[in-house]
Amino acid sequence: MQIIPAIDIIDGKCVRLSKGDYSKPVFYDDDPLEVAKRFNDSGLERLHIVDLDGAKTGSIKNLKTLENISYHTGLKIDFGGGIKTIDDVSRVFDAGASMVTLGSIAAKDPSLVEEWIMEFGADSILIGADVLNENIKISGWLEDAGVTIFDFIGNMVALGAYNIFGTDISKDGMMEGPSIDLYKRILAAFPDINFIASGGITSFEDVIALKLIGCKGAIIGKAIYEKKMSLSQLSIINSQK
Amino acid sequence: MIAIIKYNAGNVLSVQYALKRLGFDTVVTDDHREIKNADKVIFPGVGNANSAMLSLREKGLDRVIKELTQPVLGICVGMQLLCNHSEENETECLGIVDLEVKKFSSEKLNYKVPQIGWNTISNYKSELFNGIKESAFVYYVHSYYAEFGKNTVASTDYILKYSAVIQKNNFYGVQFHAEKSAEAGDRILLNFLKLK
Repeated sequence: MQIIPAIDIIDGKCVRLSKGDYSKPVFYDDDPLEVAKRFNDSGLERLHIVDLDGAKTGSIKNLKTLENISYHTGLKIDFGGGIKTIDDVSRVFDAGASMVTLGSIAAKDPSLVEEWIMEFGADSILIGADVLNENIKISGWLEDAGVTIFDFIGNMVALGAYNIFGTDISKDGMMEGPSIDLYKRILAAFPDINFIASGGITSFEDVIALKLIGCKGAIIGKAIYEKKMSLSQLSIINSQK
Repeated sequence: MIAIIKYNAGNVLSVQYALKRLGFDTVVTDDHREIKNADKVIFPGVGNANSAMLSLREKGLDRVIKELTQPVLGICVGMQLLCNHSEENETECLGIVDLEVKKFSSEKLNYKVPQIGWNTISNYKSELFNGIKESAFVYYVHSYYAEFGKNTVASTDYILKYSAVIQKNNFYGVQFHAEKSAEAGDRILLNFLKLK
């Protein structure tokens, strides 16, 4: 079970939103680099960076932070938020990310996902499915994409993508537990994908429950910042295959 | 010249790759004149029917496709867009083939939606199937299907009997991914490319 800590960034600073609401950001004091170093030092291997400015405006804003973190840590980073063109994808890889996260653009223009998979390989592409009531939301969760999560994942699988994470917006930042039932149905429909759960994961019980239904990873944000789970314990779960 | 229509729905490159493997060069294009002058036109697509139609209209390709007189092959969403209307976001499609595109009901036990994987086609009524044995296996990924109707030239059973392949005049459409359907898929593509 891969434990993937998350850093969401607004204006170079670490932030957590609740249910994706930009009007109620909670900023955490630390510099993102310091936070990433703590993850790295605790033995975690992955990092999920979301450029919230990029997701909202549709163009990457916090590439410098990515560069800094990738230069100073050994974390394997996926980066997303505002990626629109093949040049954006190249810039993100040049800045040190191992994967790009594609959300809005994958829903709007699947032909680009196909092109980038052919160019960079499916291993380098992480598809983000942000879901509210089974429908995909895009543009920083502000807009409805008009497609269900099942159809969206089906389209992505048809194009050769297999690294996919699902974020239940109603759970995100709420620390009330993840959407086990939804993820179970996704895994039943798509048993062959590398599915990562995100949103609402608060306890070790949550992580174990996700592991038992077949999730390959868990993205954890607020629960780490609010110290509901310790990095050392997460690191132990991370090292268990 | 074989033209593959370029728009925002995916699968363009996989189709191009499959044809290259079969020994055919293709041009991926949204140029009206190039498409009109092609000997064969392939109209692929993976994605949302509504945004795919919007992209076609933006590029003026909806009118171009309707007026084509050479053999045209729609694949997956490309096939669905040849029909009248899709339940996916209540999308008005090209209206070339008089069929409705509907969503699979996931209420039946043991049937997953989308359908992903291999299934068989039967009831062949087109030269596209020359040399293909009955009940050949093809590869599907879809949640929406075109109903069974008079333009159906092969059908598949999944939850219900639906159009696996449709044909009206010079317009052909396959719901499955012919480019990923091994032997039968290759044969269908080759048969299409042989059409006059």
